[in-house]
Amino acid sequence: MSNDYLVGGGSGRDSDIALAAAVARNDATAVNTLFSEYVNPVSRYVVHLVSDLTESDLEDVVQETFIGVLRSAPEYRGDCSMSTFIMRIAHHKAIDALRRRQVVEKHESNFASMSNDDIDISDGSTGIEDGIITGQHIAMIRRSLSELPEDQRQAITLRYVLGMKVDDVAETMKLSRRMVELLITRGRSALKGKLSGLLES
Amino acid sequence: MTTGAGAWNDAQVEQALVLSGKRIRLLSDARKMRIRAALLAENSRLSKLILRKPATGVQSRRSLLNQILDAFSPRMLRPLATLGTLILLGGSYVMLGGQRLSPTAALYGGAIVQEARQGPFGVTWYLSRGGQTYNGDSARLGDDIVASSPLTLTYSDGSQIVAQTGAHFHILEDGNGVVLTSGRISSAITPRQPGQPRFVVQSAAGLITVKGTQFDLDMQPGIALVLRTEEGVVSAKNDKQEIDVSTGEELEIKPGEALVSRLQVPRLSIVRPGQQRIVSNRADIGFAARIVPEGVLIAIGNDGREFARFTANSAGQINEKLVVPAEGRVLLRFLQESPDGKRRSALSAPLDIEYNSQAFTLRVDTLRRDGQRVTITGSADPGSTVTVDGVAVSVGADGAFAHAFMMHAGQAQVEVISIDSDNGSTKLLQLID
Repeated sequence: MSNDYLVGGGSGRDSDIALAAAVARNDATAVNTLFSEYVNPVSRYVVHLVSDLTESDLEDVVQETFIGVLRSAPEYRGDCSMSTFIMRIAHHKAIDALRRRQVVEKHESNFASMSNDDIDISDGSTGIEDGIITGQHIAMIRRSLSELPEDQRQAITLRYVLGMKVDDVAETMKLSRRMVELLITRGRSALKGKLSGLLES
Repeated sequence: MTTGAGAWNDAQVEQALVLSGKRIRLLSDARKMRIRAALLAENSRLSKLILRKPATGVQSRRSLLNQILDAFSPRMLRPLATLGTLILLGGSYVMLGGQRLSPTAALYGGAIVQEARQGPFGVTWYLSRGGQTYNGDSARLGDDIVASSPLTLTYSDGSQIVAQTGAHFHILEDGNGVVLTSGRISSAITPRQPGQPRFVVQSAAGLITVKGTQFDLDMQPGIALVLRTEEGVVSAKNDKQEIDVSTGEELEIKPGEALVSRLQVPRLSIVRPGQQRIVSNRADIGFAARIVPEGVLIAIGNDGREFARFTANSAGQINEKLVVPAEGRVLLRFLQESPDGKRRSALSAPLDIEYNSQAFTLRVDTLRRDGQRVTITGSADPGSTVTVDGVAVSVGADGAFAHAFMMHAGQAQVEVISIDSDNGSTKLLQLID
């Protein structure tokens, strides 16, 4: 039995195609591999895109995403990386969740009550001027991120939180590279402004 | 807020975003396990949908719809035509009521069944079967089953699966296996001929493939599947590797972890959970044991010296006698050693044996198996009440008893209990060969 899709068993796009083909022919081990490989990036993306999700809601969105991947696996032809392919599906599911729960309208009321519960704030660093980012800074940046326009938030999350290349972000969002660069620049500037305002207050 | 005042620069924003991704708390293992199980069940169901088989030349649902629309409706009327077609298709589904897939096994015991039904274009959906199942009901391809009591599935080729209460599994649409979501099942699979597809058990932890053998599976919380092979060889595979697990061996399968089999704990007919003390009125105590084939069972006395040593046959069975030298008590520890002497496993607690020539008598003289039918004979004190696996049997004036019963799949032993006129009870656990 071929294991070419397994981590370390193949390389790059060929390995992605082999994995998708194995999933499409109902190989349970391939489904496991796919899930193990991508569950954390998908969760991370969804959490950053839809800021007020409970863990139970996150579980639903992640499950919907992977079921979507199972259904779409036969259509994967290697035109983009498996990561981009999955993130595109995660993106649609997260947007669905976002709209279902009308999160945009609720942002103002949620802002004041957002907690740091899901952030590890165990380090004892005290300031950004010494170049050290603390857990509280991360909480601040997540709050600021949730206030960005939806397209800027997506682009910033895909680029920095998930570490995708700009071309892959463009592929995921179905936008041009130039447009993605613009969204990232604008989003980063907006974040800086919001964060500086938070620090001063 | 403890930070000093000051503007953030681009690098700090980017660093905080990267850290935000790395340090966020994600889904718990339990939730991941639930998603995995749902995915496997969905994967299995999808295998029958035409959406999954574009390569076979069957049209997907969408393309078929588009084809109909292209043929019969101008573009402007497409929304209307779409609605009409969907209503037509929906009406067809309702009128046809879906079709049950082929029966594949007979059910004995209680279960809650989600029945798989197939409609036009290969679309499958599920209907909950009201109430409990009855003995002899059919389980069909694609059904989703939760055992509400010990449940036996008997396939037409004689293969059997015994699911313990609470076990949740899905019958694969091709009839060659199940998806185990949770709980414990024991299986006795009739050997397959060369070229026949092998029986598989899919789970979130890994894949089990068998040609014809007996094994026990326990899907535990935290995505761990414990496999114990009772007879033959079972192939186990996770996302890391694939290994064979032979008779008398066991394996814990977890995603992403190396697979290393180990010897099962030796099983002795005179030992059962919670019973570590035996009183015998004979110096030679007959016993049966099940260990790794051709392995060695070693009894070690309280003084650390070897008390006795027995070698198993090629099926891993031992039928021997422990001889106690004198009346009194002896504390024995049992361990087994693989034929190459490199691996060992032991019973966790020592066995306390008392030889008392005045003690109560309960003895199994013969235990014969003919297919699934087992006949047991023995003797107890006259006037005793004897039960075999909970069924009362009649005891003659001389204390002799005989009983015949049909064994269930995976059954490896029988429990005999006698209660004498003074309400003293004795239990014997006898392995079935």
